[in-house]
Amino acid sequence: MNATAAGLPGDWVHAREEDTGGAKVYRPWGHPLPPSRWRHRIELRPDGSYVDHRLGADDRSPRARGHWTVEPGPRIRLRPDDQGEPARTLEVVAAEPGRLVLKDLP
Amino acid sequence: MSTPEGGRPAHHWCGTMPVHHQMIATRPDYAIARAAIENTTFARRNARAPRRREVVTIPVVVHVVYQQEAHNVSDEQIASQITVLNQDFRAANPDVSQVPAPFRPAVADTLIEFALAGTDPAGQPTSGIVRRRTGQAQFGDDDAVKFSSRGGSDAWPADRYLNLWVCNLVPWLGYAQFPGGPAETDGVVVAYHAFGNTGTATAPFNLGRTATHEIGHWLNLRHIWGDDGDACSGDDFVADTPNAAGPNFGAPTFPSVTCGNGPNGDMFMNFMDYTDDRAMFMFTNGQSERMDAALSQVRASFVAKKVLDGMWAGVAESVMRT
Repeated sequence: MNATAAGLPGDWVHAREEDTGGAKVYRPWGHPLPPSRWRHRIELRPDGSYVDHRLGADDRSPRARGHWTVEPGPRIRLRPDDQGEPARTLEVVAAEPGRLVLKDLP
Repeated sequence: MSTPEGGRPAHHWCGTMPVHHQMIATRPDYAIARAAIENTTFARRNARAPRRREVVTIPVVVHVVYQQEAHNVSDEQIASQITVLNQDFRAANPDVSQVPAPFRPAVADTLIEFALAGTDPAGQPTSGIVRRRTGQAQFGDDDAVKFSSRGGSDAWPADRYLNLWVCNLVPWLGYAQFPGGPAETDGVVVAYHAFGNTGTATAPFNLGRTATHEIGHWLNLRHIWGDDGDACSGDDFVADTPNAAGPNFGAPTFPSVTCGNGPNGDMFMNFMDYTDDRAMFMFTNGQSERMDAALSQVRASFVAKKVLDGMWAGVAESVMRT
């Protein structure tokens, strides 16, 4: 991580009600949100590790772990510990206190 | 896979049906069981195995696990949940009339009903309700609620009862276990505020549809979007649910087109989507066939032998055996 990572570490949950223009709005875990059958949650930890709470076929949330780095843009690069899983890149559209806006990149 | 009650041979089949890549398979025996179930399900469809015509009634034990009295759902609320299940699985729910015209031919009466168990595992009369006060303020998706040693309530024998746990589940509304998993965790878990249609049930999940959805999983149904994130490559192994991208939330307006599935779009009113309770109101014939396949094999202990025989009548031995 570097200085551009400011505001990125945190335990983030998808507030889909606030999504705009193909970007996903995340709020800190615990932020008051309406109940939902599922919300994506991702923990971007200060030590560079992450926990991705995915949507399971049985409605549980299997956790995928890996490491994240910040690239120019800024972008977040997620590298799963599972070598069989592809890495993913997210564009950081906005990073404000209590609000993180991300967009999936191909 | 064990031999179903009634002395039938194990219904292994050497097919090529892939086991879904996202199936949680931390236990090798579970992965093997899942593969066998899918193979048999696929084989029954290919063989045009007979469909069940008799109603099957599943005995249910409801485990109410609560720390706060407010989470100790009432008998009335439990009864309301059973009523909802019996409407939803029989296409007798009043809102089935809202199914859009193009999807109406797919609506299924699954001929599955539910009743609170009248006899406990020891053979004694029971209300079918177990109430356990716990020191746990909340539960997650780690199965703790299913074990007394972890603050929950132990499962009743999974081959004789559908175990349904109600608790302060955070943040999930519910989760399930597919057929073929460990007996001690077999069943479904539902949050107290998404259970039944009265008492603590809270909008927009206040019509009992979370349990309908979870029991669909318990009978081997998959999410209609195919559990592939938001992609169009996943499959729920059911032909009459349109290919869809990701889960739908809230109460969409018909039609909602994804994955080139126009003009009718996603079947977001299906119980196996993620819409609000008021927006989901149907199972399909294909889903009913898939649940039948589960009841013909891994859930066969809930089916009378005569009925089970009928479900396998005329099916070639090559389909029934490895």
